[in-house]
Amino acid sequence: MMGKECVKSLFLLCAAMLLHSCFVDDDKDMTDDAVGNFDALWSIVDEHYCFFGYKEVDWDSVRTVFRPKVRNNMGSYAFFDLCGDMLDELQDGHVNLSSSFATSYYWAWFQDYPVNYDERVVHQNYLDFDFYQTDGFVYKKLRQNIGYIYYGSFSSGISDNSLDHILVRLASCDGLIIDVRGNGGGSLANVETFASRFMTERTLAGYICHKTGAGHDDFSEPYAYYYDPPAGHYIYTKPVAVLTNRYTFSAANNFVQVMKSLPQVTVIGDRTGGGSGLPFTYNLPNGWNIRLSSSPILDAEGNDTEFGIDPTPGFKIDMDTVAALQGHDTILDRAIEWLVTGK
Amino acid sequence: MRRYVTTLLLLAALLPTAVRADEPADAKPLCPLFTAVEFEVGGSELIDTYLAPWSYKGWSLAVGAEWMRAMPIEEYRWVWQQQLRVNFARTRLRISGSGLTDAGSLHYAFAMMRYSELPVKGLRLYYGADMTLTAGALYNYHGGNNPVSVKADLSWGLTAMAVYDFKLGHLPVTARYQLSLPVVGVFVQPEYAESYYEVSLGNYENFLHAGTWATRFDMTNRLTIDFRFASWALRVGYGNTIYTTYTAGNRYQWVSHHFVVGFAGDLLRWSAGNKDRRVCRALYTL
Repeated sequence: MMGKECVKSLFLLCAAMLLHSCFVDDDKDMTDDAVGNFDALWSIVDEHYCFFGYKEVDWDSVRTVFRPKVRNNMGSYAFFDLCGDMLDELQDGHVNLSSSFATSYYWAWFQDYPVNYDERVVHQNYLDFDFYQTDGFVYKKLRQNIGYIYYGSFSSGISDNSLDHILVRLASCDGLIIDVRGNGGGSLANVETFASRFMTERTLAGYICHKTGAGHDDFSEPYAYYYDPPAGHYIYTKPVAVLTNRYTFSAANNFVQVMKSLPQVTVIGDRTGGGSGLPFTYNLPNGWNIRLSSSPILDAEGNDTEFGIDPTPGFKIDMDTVAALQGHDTILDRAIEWLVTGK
Repeated sequence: MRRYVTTLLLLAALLPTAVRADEPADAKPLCPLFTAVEFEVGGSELIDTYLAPWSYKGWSLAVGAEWMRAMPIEEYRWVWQQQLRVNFARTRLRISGSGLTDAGSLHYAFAMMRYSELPVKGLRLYYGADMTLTAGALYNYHGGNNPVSVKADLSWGLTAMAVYDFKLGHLPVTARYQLSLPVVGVFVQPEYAESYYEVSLGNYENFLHAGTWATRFDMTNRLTIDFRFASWALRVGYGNTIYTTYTAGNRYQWVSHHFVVGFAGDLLRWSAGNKDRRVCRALYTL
């Protein structure tokens, strides 16, 4: 009798545990149609996008405008375009909707501004088509004994060894130009590797925070982060001019933000394109991906740079397009002038 | 076939050699090392809202090994057990079959259990405590700055198993059900939308969490039947694992259901005096 009771108890225990092991299916009511995917997209942005307050975007109103336009029988392209139009309301170059046939972009952050960079003008008239290239860097000593480094993407890997070679090669110059015009961003780790070569001591690089919940104002306390000069590697301490345009975006924007706080650095050119939110990516039920700004990165004063960073006061300058036809990059010319004359 | 099985069991036995006691060869009973190697295949469902707010479903595999040995406590009524398992799952969005998320984990458990004979002949109940260590990650192929969700936990809990030895004709058979239930521990999980980049900058606040049933619920159910042929056994069974965390605004759950097949057996140390020594087996009695 006792044995039967034991077996019965064991059986009940097993049954209870196996029932408890069932998968908790939160999305069982979700539908993979246009309405379902629109609602999913809107909700993901609503719960994870980090600049609603800063940009004063009323996301509920946006839904009110766009939701009635969604039809389950609309084509994929039409639905994609509608979602892209809705996302444009966020005015954010880090917000993209990706499908197997297209990726949506918000272009206005640089389309409405001068290009302010012409690679051909620089390569032909300043570098004489004769320069060194490594790790995504283009570098050369200019005629005025000024070092010039162009870095077009922070996605290009940076090695300490390459940086040592470049900076030692340019060490005898009177100053250095770092050109990040057209640099659309990449890895923040590369920002640290590059920017720390111009620091002689531990430097406050900025603050980072993240969403702690679905509410628009649910943020962690800003966390201060620092860059240290790399031990055993060459540190460049002479004056540095950083050249920017509106296409200087995301990680490149972050690089400019850090460099601008250094005393020997002057930022010359146009306001950067911003993009200070670290983006996260999420799937939609139909397999499309939504990338959005998720974690704001603030500068060393605690300011948001989502809408860009101004050049150093007195150094805001656009490229003269007529002079460019004659082979002059007036932003680069201004940087050379500052490094040669100090003014 | 038998040679291959023996080789497999010997290889599997290499891992826990550190746990073997240095017993005087002639004084104590012989405690063979029970060893099993298992292969599992089945299905998994998972969700990790840090990566995506939707559930994924797909196939999964596991390879595991188990070791048990009687311990010289209370007349060898105690056993230790070690389990090592590598799990892998490939899943797609449950709702549409698109998207792709892989999950992998390494699971290790060390348990000490006492057994009692129940009034039913051949039926024993083992009960004790275990320590488990799990490390793994989920990888969502959507790219971006948050493709990975790292999983690591250390926990202490309860484990129990019912073992029933019987004969099917002349064939000794051992049926076993084991439940492992972590109770307390620690695990890592970033906050709601905290990036690993921020963690790498040194912000570990709210990254390490106390694991209780309020924040996580893990469980392992294993129902196996060993058909014992001479010195080895063919094992078939069912394995179910569930990992769950609820914390920091995120929910993670990985549930797998696997068909288990494997080989098992007692490994004895061969020496001239073996035949005269009492044998204390960890699992098989018949």
